[in-house]
Amino acid sequence: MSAEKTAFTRRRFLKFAVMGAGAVTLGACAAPSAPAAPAAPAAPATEATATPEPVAAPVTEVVITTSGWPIRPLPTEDDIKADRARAGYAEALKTWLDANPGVTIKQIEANIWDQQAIVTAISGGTAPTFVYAPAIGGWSLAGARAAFVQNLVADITPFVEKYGVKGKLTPAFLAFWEPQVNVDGKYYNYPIDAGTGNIPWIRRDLIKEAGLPEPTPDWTWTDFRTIAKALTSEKDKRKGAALQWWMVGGMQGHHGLNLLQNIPSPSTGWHWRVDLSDPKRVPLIQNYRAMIFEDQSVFSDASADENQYTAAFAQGSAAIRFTNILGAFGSAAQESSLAALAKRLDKPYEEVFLFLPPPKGDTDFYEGQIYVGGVSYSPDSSADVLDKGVGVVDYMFLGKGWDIQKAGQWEATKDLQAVFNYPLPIDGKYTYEGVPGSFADAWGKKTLEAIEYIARLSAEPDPGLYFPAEKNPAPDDKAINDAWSTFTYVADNVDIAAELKKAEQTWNKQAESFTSSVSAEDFTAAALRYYADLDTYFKEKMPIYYESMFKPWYDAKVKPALG
Amino acid sequence: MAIEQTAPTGIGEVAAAKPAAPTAATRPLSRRSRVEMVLFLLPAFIFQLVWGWYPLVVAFVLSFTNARVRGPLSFTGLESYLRMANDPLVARAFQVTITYAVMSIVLTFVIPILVAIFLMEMPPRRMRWMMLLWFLPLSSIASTILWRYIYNAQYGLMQYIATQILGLPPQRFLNDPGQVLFWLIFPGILLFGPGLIYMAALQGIPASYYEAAEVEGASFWRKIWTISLPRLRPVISMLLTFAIIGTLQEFTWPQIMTGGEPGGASRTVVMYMYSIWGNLRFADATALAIMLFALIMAITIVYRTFFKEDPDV
Repeated sequence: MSAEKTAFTRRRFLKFAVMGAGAVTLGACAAPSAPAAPAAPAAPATEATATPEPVAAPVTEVVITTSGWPIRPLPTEDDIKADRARAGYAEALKTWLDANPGVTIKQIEANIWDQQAIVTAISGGTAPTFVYAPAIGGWSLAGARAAFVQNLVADITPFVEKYGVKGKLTPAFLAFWEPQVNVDGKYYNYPIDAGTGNIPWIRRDLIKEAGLPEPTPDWTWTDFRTIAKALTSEKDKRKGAALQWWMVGGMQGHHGLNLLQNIPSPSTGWHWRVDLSDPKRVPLIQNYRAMIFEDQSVFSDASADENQYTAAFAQGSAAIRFTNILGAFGSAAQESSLAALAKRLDKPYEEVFLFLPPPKGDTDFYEGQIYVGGVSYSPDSSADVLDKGVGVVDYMFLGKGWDIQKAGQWEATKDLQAVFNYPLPIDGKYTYEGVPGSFADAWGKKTLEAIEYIARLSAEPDPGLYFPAEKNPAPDDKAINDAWSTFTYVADNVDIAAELKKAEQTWNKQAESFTSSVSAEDFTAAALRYYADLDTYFKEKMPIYYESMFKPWYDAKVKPALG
Repeated sequence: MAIEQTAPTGIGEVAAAKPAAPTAATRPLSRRSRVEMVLFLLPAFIFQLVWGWYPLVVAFVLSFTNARVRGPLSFTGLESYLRMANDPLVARAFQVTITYAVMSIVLTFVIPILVAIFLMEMPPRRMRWMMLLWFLPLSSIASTILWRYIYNAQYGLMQYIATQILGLPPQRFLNDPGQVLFWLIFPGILLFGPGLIYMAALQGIPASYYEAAEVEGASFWRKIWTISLPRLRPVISMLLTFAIIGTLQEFTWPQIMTGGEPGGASRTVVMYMYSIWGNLRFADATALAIMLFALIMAITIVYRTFFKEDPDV
């Protein structure tokens, strides 16, 4: 061959480029490979060994993707060396994987807790198998149920039946969970744990050191301000509390005002309007701002994210913070855990930390704090992925895998705190085979009693269970959240009443252009049922709030609207 | 005079008698060459079509529908545009975005021109050190997170500088709606923006221009005004176009540093678009994107119409 013929000419380059591009294009446009046949049920390991000549069952390759919650990929030896408590998890998951050949659990980058990020991932088909419906729905039950009916998560009804979850939950948790995740007979969520809303974590030891009386479950926001101020120390570089911007809304909710801000309006397209005109709000917000800007007892900063608030509490630079109880029980092996802080202080956990319901307002109003958390699944999951995805969650949280994890954690650490890290077991199991001890032994009797008290607080009827799930996009709360953010961060003179009015007008203006998928008749019927149940509930449970706030508000604003 | 007007020059005669020889640019291409030209252009064209024009057209179409993750689409006309036009938070986001863009261009675009000019006046060794300091390759996300800590009003470095070194009262930095945009832009000033490109362009200006000006007795400022800036004009024009487009689409810094706080004072149009998208309002988000696109296009056209690139015009 001559050199001329073998040279890579411009013409040859183009020829190859065109061929390559053609091949890529054809590959990209080709139909996806046919779904694999459903896997034969995996035989238990004991049966497999008993069979003399096992016939190799067809193995279906199933890839479950995870952001790290609630299932992580199998820990490596290095992972286990770094945290011995993970040995139990590794053993349990390996047992399940061995019984389910062909299944791979793959870690991918995804933020399933951020609404924008996870919705973008779902719309782009890149969401992990496991997702969290409340995050998709904007952290409300109504939003989560709207995500269900808009098919943003998968229908897992056959697997709820297959794995028999209803027989595994305690009656109380089953009664709580089932109505929330069931829409028109279909299930969109598999339960794994129970937690609380944002409750205060308090440094009990610092209160004692300051010579203050320990707050009790019926403490108020006035008490809160006093304690936060007393625990603030320039010398120790400590603030009394670390409060995110949304706590100004939470504080109003603790006074029973959040319920009163939504007014039914069936004659309008969206059926709701917002009313922030209650005169009680202004002095409450003034008091809240005084904690930040006058007392200088609260850490709040526009540049701080959730991790910085967590770190402030865990490192002792804030004495109170509000968050879910589930995060309070990491073992001392985790440097940023509360247990690690107690260990550094060389004090028992229950002597360092106090858990209470949120402070009350000036009535007997309180909010129930318990929820049942569960896993939802990406709508792009195949039937095989859903089957195995539900199966692994069931095994690891409500099945044999849970016991294996706990026994393994105990064997590896001999640390009860590493074992008992879920304070509210939804299956009612408070002890584990092979583990000598209980939750109270690990974290203290006072801690357990506090959580049990919080768990007993009843919750008011949730509108999500009364109004049909919304199929159309809804206005969000950005206008109102902007007001909360302004109250929290802006130190200069802020006209609170004017800001509230602006937020109300902005939200209502936005809502004018939205249309509900629910008819006015259905909405009105649901609203009448909802408010009738609220009326009964408050009359019985919170008579002062009922007489002083709910009833006058209902008669003045809701009754005329519903006719 | 008459002779001058009528007497043909030799060159003119030749030019009239013989058509100009075709140059490489005007010579007709053979069929094979044309095919090759098309094939060479094809990958870039396909890339632009798939990643540039196709999403734009789809976004435009989606903005007239009830687009959702799942379920059939239906045509909704201008509903999304009207909703966005009547949303007070959209107006606020545009106001924030335009303020941010103007401040950003003034502070991070104009200042580096002056700094680059001054750097060029320095001895080469010192100039190299200054450039090294400015152009250290930093990860944008990492530096954003770092700056978040620096600005923390309770224990950040900036608060220390303000109160302990400058003796000022405690500052609110990102918590102050009147200051938040400045503090978001401030790191861009330190990072010197497009300074490297200016310096490259300045180094390309022949030294003889400056020498001639010096012979004529031109001052330092006169040389900048009549030589440096006019010669930088093509670079400035290109970079300013990119800066206008980039700052009007700002997202990363404010999203990570403040999330739009306090009270929406740092929420840009793209951030609001992103939050609307997360709220499953895909048609509204795309309508807002088209509105932003129209604004950027209009500003760019006006700017390109009035800004002359050619330094010799």
